[in-house]
Amino acid sequence: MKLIKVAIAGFGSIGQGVARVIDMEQDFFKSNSYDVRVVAISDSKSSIVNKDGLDIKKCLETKKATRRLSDDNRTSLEIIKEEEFDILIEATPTDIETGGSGLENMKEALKRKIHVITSNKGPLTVAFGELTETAKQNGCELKYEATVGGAMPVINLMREMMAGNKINSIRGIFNGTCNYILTRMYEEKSSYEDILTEAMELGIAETDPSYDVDGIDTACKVVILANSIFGMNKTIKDVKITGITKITYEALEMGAKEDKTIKLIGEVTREGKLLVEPKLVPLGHPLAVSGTLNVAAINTNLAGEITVTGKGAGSIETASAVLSDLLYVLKKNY
Amino acid sequence: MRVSMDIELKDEPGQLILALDPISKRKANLVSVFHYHKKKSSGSDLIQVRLVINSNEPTIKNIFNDFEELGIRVLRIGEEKYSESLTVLLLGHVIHTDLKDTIDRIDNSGFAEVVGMSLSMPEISKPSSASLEIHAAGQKEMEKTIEILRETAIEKDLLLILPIEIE
Ligand SMILES: NC(=O)c1ccc[n+]([C@@H]2O[C@H](COP(=O)([O-])OP(=O)(O)OC[C@H]3O[C@@H](n4cnc5c(N)ncnc54)[C@H](OP(=O)(O)O)[C@@H]3O)[C@@H](O)[C@H]2O)c1
Repeated sequence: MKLIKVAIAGFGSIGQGVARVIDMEQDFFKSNSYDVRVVAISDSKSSIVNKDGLDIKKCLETKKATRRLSDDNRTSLEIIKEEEFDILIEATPTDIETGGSGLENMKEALKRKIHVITSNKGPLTVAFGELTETAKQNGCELKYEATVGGAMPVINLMREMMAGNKINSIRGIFNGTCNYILTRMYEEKSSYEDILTEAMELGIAETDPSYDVDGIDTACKVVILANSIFGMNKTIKDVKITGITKITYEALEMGAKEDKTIKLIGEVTREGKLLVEPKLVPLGHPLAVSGTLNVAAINTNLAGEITVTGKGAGSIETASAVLSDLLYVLKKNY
Repeated sequence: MRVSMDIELKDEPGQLILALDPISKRKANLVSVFHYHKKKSSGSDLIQVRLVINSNEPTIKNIFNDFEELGIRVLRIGEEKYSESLTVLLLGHVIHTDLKDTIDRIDNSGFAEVVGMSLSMPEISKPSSASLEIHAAGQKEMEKTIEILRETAIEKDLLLILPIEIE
């Protein structure tokens, strides 16, 4: 049995989902000869550490009851610097301006030869080249399946399963909030504003929805795909972005007369075009998925077009992508 | 090039298949088949069909010869000016920003035309939506037309929504 120590930075929706999944999958890990233990967890105010492994259920209860993890006030960065563990799961909030504490955490971990798995797009959008280089220099894995399309296995699919295929382009719906809004506007014959309010009430849209509806979140994912799949060195400034705020019910209705729907499509091509804009998609087209679903169509030279659909967000759904990265790191390194 | 051919067929089963055979054999691209059901030619057991075919000139000549050999009369053959068609949406103050001028910019290009339009105006002061059906001479010309549309949309602060198949 190989003992693997994991630390989680960020204990919100995703951090908690990951902790739950690791707890749930203990038998599975053991059947593969891994003894995976979460030894440290941090949120914005506190941390909790147990070198022998934390009781996840208790951590979840404490967090719920007290909104913190313990009276250990150390930050996630301090935990990374001071504690011993093998893999960091980074799930702190996204900061696409500076990379935020996520970037600091990831750099520090990689320097200390700790493998990093992240759901946080910010650091990858801001400093993809630097992070992959640091990982390489230190012989570490840097895995980020959860950053694009939540549960949808796009990055590992292309990098591992479809290796050998030349990928010409990737386009898809990478933001569930926008997809929900456009779907519901048409269904309910409602205005953008009304459905946005509904989405906020349901917790599908954030209180400040601009990051989603202005297409920035989709653009971050396009940047990550450009850099990871095509080996480019792009940032968000290289993406031509148009959001969905100007779309009206009448426009959706007009599209429907042509048997088409309007979707916010993110696209990256081998030639280096990075684009986010609303497009008319024929009903029945593989990209015409509705609700909060995400979808990616991968155009390749050998396999033709391959389409993957799945839940783009959600605690356990996104944790499943983190889990697949975790298994990859385990199998490759231990 | 894209041509339309009006041919005369016997009003019997299997006749259309007979006529389509040379087209597929010569690997020409059949764009559409249109039956003039009511418009029978003078002899009452003949019907008229319009085929639109996309191919090069020699192939089209060969198909024409094949038809003659098969005893299919070609009544008319003509080049279609436009081979590409596309519907786009324009959203925003489409009318206040001179919709006629927007359309003229395409029509005056000499290689494309707006052949259909529908408008939706919820309230006079509110943004409206227009759907434009555009025909263009070929793929290159359609690309140029999209460029015109993109520039116009930026200049007039309109949101242009293109079909997904457009790169
Ligand atoms: N939600 C999804 O479905 C989804 C899907 C894919 C990717 N992601 C990405 O995954 C990341 C986490 O998302 P989430 O939904 O879990 O966010 P969240 O619910 O807001 O949780 C963020 C967590 O990070 C903690 N935190 C903030 N600053 C920190 C710091 N400096 N050090 C350590 N912890 C810190 C917060 O602490 P407090 O608890 O004290 O506030 C909170 O526990 C984000 O980057 C997000 O974009 C989310």
